[in-house]
Amino acid sequence: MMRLNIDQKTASVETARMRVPEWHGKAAEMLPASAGTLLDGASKLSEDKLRVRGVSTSQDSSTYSHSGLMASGVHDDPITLDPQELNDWARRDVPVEEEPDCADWMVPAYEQFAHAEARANEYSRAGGSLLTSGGGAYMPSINNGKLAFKSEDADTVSDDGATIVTTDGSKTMSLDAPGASTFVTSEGLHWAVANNLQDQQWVGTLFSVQELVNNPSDPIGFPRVDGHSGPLFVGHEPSRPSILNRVSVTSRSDTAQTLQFKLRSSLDYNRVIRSFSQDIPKGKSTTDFRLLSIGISPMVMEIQPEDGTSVILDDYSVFP
Amino acid sequence: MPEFIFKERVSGVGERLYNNPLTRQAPDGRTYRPTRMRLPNWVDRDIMTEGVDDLASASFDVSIERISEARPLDILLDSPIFPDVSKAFSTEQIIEEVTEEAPIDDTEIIDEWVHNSAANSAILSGWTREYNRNSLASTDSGDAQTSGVAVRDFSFDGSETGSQVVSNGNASVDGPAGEFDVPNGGGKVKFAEDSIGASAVNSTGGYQFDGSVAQYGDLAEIPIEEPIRFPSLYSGDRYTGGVGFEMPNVLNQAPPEESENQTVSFNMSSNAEQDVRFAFRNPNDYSETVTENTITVPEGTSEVEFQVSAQPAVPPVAVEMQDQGGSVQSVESYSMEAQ
Repeated sequence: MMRLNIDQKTASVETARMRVPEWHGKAAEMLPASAGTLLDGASKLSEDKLRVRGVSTSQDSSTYSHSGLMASGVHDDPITLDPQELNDWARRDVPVEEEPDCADWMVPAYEQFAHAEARANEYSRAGGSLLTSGGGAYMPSINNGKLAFKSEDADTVSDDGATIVTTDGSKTMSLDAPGASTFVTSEGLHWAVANNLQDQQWVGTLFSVQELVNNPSDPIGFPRVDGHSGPLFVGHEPSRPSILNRVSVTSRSDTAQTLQFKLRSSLDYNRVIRSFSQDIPKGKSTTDFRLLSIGISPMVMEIQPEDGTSVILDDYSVFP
Repeated sequence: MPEFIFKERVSGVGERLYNNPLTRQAPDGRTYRPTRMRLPNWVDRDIMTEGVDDLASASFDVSIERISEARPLDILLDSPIFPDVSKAFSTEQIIEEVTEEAPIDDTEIIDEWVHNSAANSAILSGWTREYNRNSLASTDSGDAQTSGVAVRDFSFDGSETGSQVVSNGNASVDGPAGEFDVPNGGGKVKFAEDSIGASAVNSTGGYQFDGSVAQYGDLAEIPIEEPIRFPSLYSGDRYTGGVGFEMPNVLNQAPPEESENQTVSFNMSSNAEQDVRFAFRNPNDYSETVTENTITVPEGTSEVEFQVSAQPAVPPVAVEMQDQGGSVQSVESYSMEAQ
């Protein structure tokens, strides 16, 4: 029987769900319903006592390569996380000069759509589901099934210095434009980018987790649009109840930088249990750390690279 | 032996039954999300197999009674993307409004496909809000050539141009069960064994073309108590001369109680007399139509009622309702009662 952390939707909006192991919540099921509140309280207490210890990074290789990444599968795009390389490809491929129904804003739209689809393919290959969309956010509009930009012309967005990101129309969030931002709600995990503001048209790109990938072991590129690098959200899934988890994160980066790590509750993504940062070298490296608590439950790990960098997550392992 | 019932447990919610798992792996290695029906807790394997077989021989004695004028379009929900655009169920009803908002300027708004896509987006995003009160579906509309149009498991083939779509007479869309062709100036609903998607296309040539896709995640559960529109795309003179596309509503007709006899009743609003295709699809294989019928609803709001019987009990089925001409505005309620 499949076990999941949260209901599949709240207020008509699909949530970002995570598969949890068979043992999770078993104790609660065996006790009377009245014990649930007490157990929830104990679980939060356990999370509050969580400690991160022994964070260290070792370099496996000083060479950065993007091997193992995927293309969009929709266009004949190059396999890369480099926005300039993608933009050069899009500039060559979109016949702005030759075709009267092609406009200049379609070049970044083409580039960003291809990039987003490729990252969604990698996330899917690793076992999760990422919903993405990219293109003209004024008209025809952008919508990834979970999140959409309100259709506003670029002059209005420019005057306001921000645009509106909405779920089903009942909940809206503001995004500085041009710019990028991570949006985390109690049940949603998103990254949104607004850029290339012209007079009317502008380009938007959206990433939303539909189903978290737990302990991935296939390469996933971090989203990167213009000068912005976005986060990756992965499920942290221990194989059995334990007071200690050893975690190993293997990644590749095109430059030495500092990664930000945030462990979020799987019952309320807004709740950050612990956060820390770690320097990693250029090339391939492995970051190890330990988690200690009274009892460690499944969680969500958010990893955020520095803006303007290309990073690939190769492996996220949890023992036990 | 194939499985017909899948259990899922959600923390703090409890156990639920579905006809398909949350995800499956396609032969090419991709994981996809099947279209699911939530099943009542009394179903068993016999009801999901023998009950469905027995339903195939059922005949319907349908009663249709006009009860009032067609409901005003105000009862529909706003599009979250175009909240200021008038509420409508057909792109034809709002295309002028969208065109006036952003006239072609040959620089940024460069062709009619932008207006067509924006109008479709307004209609489909409003439909998604209505449908998702009882279920989960997602839609996308836009430039199917360059920016691409995709939902989780359905996407256009980005190598095709508008001219190729015109010369082929169709565009290619990829889904969990493989590629399928969508006729230009119209649309197609793809009922595969465990997935349901829909797509519409409009191309007048050139490079870009306009496309829409929808993926039915979980089918809308009954009882339906609020209106869900029937999206009508490209059914006007300004388009390519195709037949247009009337997107169906597909509902999860799961009886709340176990019984050999059930009464189904629903209300529909239409702005003209209109035929509506009505089909039961096998919950174990959506590509199989168990039984079908065509009903004619008059102008106005009508109450439709019929009986269904099956042994050992009336099973859950996917109900496909498709307007045959672009006049039906919405299904406003849908319920089932054991006899």
